[in-house]
Amino acid sequence: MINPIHSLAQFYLPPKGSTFADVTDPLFDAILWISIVSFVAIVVVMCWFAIIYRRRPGYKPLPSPSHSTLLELIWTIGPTLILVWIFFQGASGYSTLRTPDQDAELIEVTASQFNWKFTYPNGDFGDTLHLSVNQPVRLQLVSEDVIHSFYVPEFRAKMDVMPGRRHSMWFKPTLVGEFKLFCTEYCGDGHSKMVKNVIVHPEPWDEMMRKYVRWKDAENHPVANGARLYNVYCSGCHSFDGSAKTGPSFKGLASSTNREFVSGSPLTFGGADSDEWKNYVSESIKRPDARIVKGYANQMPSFEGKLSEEQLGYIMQFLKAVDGGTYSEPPKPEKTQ
Amino acid sequence: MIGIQFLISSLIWFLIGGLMAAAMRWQLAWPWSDMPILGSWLFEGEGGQISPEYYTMLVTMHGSVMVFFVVIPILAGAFGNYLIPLMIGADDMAFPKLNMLSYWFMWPAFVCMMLSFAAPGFGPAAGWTSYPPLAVLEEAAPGSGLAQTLWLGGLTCVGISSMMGSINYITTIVQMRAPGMTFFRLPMTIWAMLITAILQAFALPVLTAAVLMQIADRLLGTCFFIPEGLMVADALPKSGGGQALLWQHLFWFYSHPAVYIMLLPAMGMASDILSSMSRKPLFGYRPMVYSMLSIAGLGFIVWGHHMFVSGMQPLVGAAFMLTTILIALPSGIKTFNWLATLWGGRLQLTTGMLFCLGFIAMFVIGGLSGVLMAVAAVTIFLHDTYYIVAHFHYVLFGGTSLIVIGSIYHWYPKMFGRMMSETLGKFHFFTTFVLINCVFFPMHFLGAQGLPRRYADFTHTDSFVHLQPINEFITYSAFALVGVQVVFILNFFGSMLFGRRAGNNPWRANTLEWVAPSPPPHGNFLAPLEVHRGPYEYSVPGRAQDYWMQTDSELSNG
Ligand code: HEC
Ligand SMILES: [Cu+2]
Ligand SMILES: [Cu+2]
Repeated sequence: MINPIHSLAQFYLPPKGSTFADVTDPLFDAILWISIVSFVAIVVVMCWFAIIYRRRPGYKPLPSPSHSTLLELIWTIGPTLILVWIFFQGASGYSTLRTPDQDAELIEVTASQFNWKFTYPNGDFGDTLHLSVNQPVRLQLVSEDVIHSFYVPEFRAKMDVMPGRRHSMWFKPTLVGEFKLFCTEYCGDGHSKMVKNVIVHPEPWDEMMRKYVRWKDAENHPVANGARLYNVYCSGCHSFDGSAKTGPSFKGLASSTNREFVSGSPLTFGGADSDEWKNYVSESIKRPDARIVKGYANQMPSFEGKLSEEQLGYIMQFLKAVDGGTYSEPPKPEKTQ
Repeated sequence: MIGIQFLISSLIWFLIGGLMAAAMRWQLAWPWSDMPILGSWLFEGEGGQISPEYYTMLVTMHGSVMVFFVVIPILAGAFGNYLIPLMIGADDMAFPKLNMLSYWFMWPAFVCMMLSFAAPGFGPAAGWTSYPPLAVLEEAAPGSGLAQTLWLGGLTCVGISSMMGSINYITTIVQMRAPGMTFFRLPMTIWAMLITAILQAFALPVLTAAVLMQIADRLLGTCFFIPEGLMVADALPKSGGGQALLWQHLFWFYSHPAVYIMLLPAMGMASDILSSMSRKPLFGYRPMVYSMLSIAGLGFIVWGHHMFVSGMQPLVGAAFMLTTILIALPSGIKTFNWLATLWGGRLQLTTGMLFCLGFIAMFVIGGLSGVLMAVAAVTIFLHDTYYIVAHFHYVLFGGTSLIVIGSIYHWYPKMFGRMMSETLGKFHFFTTFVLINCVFFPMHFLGAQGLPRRYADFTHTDSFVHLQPINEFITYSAFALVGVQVVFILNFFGSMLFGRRAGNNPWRANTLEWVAPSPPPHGNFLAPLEVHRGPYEYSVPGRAQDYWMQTDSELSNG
């Protein structure tokens, strides 16, 4: 099943997914080999000395120097030459990695605990980063809360996302396929799940945008609209399959009939169509600190002003649709004139 | 003696930190499975499993404990305190009361850290680097409540303790040397302790100030590190205006020199053990001193290499890259001089010596991977992956901790008047050495694959499942590594009772501590000393004995 060459490569650098790999990988290889050679040389000499000069009956050491300016010079100047070479290689590579291409397309990346949101030039947004092969992109990174870090191993690209600062990074993907985006700056209990998809499409940029990045709420089923909003804003903290995350799972929320809180009296509702339920859910989203669900902490940000009433409605539709713990894509509504 | 107290409390924390690491490894190898024995007791609420919050708390506390309660206090507090007066021929430290205070200031820190485990909400979980805003806003994470304040309080006490220590060390070394003990007759350990103390004295105020600023942000409503417009959970809107990046500068301005605070004393002690056990003068004494000075000097201007991906102007980044790469040079010089010390010697492969040789090999790996990571173009890929975890464990565990253990074997006869068992010691060395490599070497592969650090679980995406067997292997090795330390503990305590009695100078070494009785009485030495030569006059041609103590007054051949 596993090809041996392939399985060896599994423990080395990941596949080359962007032009950066052509900078990073050769440098990595070169320095690694310099290191291996130096390490082996040092350890072989050390072990050899430890064996031939060990104390044993009948062994009398010959006098050896305890200082040698010549040797000191050799092992100062030799490594200096190598290190200077490494520095110049590294510095020129570094400048390539940090000098954006002129034709880069701009995408805005918003990170928050534990979600990623990508906003494209046409105003559409989503939780998957769509790119097109050989099209350089520039990402504007902003964080709404704590520090996160944008990292796609195949692209050899990484940049911290800082609150209160606008960082920018660029890269040029060269490999078609689906990759994972990881958060690499520890950002809270959901950190290891702050993972999203990056898809590099074979189509040129404009065609790719036409095909994948053009969501219109009116053209889609309300549940699908809700699902999209859920993916962008809520999926980092809420699952809908019952699995544990920072917040309670949405499985069974719509059919539940009561809630207990950390403090205050419990609530009972008469199902997802009752006003009590709608009020509770909308309060949970707009003013999450008003009532904290028992067993959880006050960790949810308020979405007051961030989500319109219409969008709130979509989310509620979605909550009802995933009540059973699964989500299936609803059909697209018929196009009307 | 204060040194022994430091030693014992650090060793206890070493064990606690090691157990935390074992718990982390459990989670990484078998995510969300019930932990045996302790699980049902510790994590009753989660049904015997480690929760993600708990995992990050373990990461945080393991790091904090190992750095602030183990490595720094054991080097400066324990060995510094113990060896400085003995090796320079002083009857005590310059300020004995300050010395005691510096130990007793560790206790509030211990108490704070212990309490923070039990704090309502959660233990501190913002990483040992405590980056704001995560660490500053209570609402950002379950552990950022009272626990974080306690953690910061503990750190402040550690800082005060280290500061008192370093002032004392500097004064003692400068003022209290025995007659004839010129600076260039000091053993390398003392040079290392002196340079380390100076590093502490300059770097620590910055950390302490930063920690106090973070405490103010948390308790007094200031916004040093809080930018405008944050939306963390339901934190009340803050006026903002601060910079999260500022903390990183201040923190690393201390914490990079801290790496050398954690390494230089080990290098010094290694030099002394190597020379006496090779029965040869330390090769290149002066280059060794100068390289240590330049490591310390350069150490202050490399902190930016922790921030290559924090949004740094590339030109500044390139400057930090240059200084960082340059630091490899004095480190290399030290390594080559150690090798040349062995050359033509007559090596006594005692346990202490074996640990030194092991240290050299491990330090070379850690140093070389450091060069790789100094190169920004590569580090952008490797930053915050397991590669860095492998790197600093090679330096701090493979490097410093091996020397710490080796030094315990070497100076134990002086401390307790008895020898440790060499058989157990050698068993301890070989198992520890092999297992350290089993634990940390595979992490290079994980890092090369881009595995991010501080993840509680890698199995929920397909990207890294193929690495899970490696994770399991590391975990088995880590358990074994913790397990074999039992041999050391037995040897350590058993030898106090049953060890062979050591005379004043069991290793037939030159330095002054071996003149004093073992264990040294109050006042250390029985008679006033005078120093006549450098510390490394081993195998001087024409002498019958292959060592020549610094105090020997005979000038001709004996
Ligand atoms: C940073 C993590 C986080 C994000 C992002 C988040 N939530 Fe929450 N949410 C929580 C937590 C924690 C709770 C439980 C504590 C509370 O009631 O405030 C919660 C509670 C809720 C509840 C009440 C659930 C129940 O079982 O009673 C609802 C409804 C909810 N969230 C909806 C949302 C929606 C919709 C979004 C996205 C628009 C969202 N949340 C985004 C963390 C989050
Ligand atoms: Cu994160
Ligand atoms: Cu550093």
